[in-house]
Amino acid sequence: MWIYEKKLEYPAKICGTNPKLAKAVITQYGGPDGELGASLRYLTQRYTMPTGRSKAILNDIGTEELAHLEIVATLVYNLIKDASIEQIKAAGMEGYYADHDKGLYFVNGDGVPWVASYIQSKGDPITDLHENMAAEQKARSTYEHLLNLSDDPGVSETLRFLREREIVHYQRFGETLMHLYDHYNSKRIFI
Amino acid sequence: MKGPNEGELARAHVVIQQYNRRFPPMEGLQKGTIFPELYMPYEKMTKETVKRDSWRSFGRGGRNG
Amino acid sequence: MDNDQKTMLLNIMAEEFTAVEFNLYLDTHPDDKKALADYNETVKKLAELKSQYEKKYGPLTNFGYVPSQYPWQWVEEPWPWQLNFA
Repeated sequence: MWIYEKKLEYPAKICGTNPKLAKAVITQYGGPDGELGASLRYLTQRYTMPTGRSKAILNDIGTEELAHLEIVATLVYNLIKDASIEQIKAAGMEGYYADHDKGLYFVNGDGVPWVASYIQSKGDPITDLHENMAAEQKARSTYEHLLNLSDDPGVSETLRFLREREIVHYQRFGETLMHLYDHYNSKRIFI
Repeated sequence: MKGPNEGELARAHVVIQQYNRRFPPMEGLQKGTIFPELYMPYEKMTKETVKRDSWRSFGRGGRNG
Repeated sequence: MDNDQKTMLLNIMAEEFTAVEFNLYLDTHPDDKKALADYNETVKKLAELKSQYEKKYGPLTNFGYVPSQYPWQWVEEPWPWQLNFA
């Protein structure tokens, strides 16, 4: 069961209105390597993990990714909330605005909607852990691309936090994979 | 330290972290981790660095690759 | 939100983030005695910080975790995405 805590994990900073930047950042909300995919991937994989440790880490990282989803939403929300129609047009955000006004929706930077095929839950724990390690690397790369694009120092600080979390998650999933190898090795029956 | 599975083919090998020291809370929050050994800051692409392979920036802040 | 409240919230964020980091580490290192002791220390500090904050500014969690004053405080603003720490 989930409990909501009425604070963000990190103090998100936004230095000004910038719908152009929002249009790029939104990919970590509803894009292929974003936080929605990450949360749902780990939270749906946890059911078929074979040990307490692997269930715990999938559960906990999945939960933390929901907190990151919230931080990305906060960035996008604050970047566009005071944007004028002229700014929205200049940012090339007319299409998004027509469908969603200033609302948050699960799309990538080009308006492509989120789809379940962004994630996999193979049921094979070794496979799933490899999927997760790849996912964390893809997220890290995406945050680096966003850092290359960002001209807002507050948003950049926030993106740096989110990027570093992907590195830590990668390490934890790697450790979990090693643990699963040990688990399956110890279960081998020698005739 | 080599474990019993070191060197096995067709599988990944990840080094297990050993916790020693940590950053104080506010510094940890700012950096995105409390563990110094996992802190790998990103150096933003500039006109000079963009020519290099971008993967080199991972883990070393971009300049030492 | 005034600066006192923002500062208290920042301190809670910092302490809780430390707890989250230890939590993830312990999930993969359940036998690490030092990490566990440090996690439990963080739990104590965090409980103290949250209790002080909630007394002044209302509950941080709902669904039965902490009591509320009248009228029901949970609906109060600002909500987390309305806060800018720039």
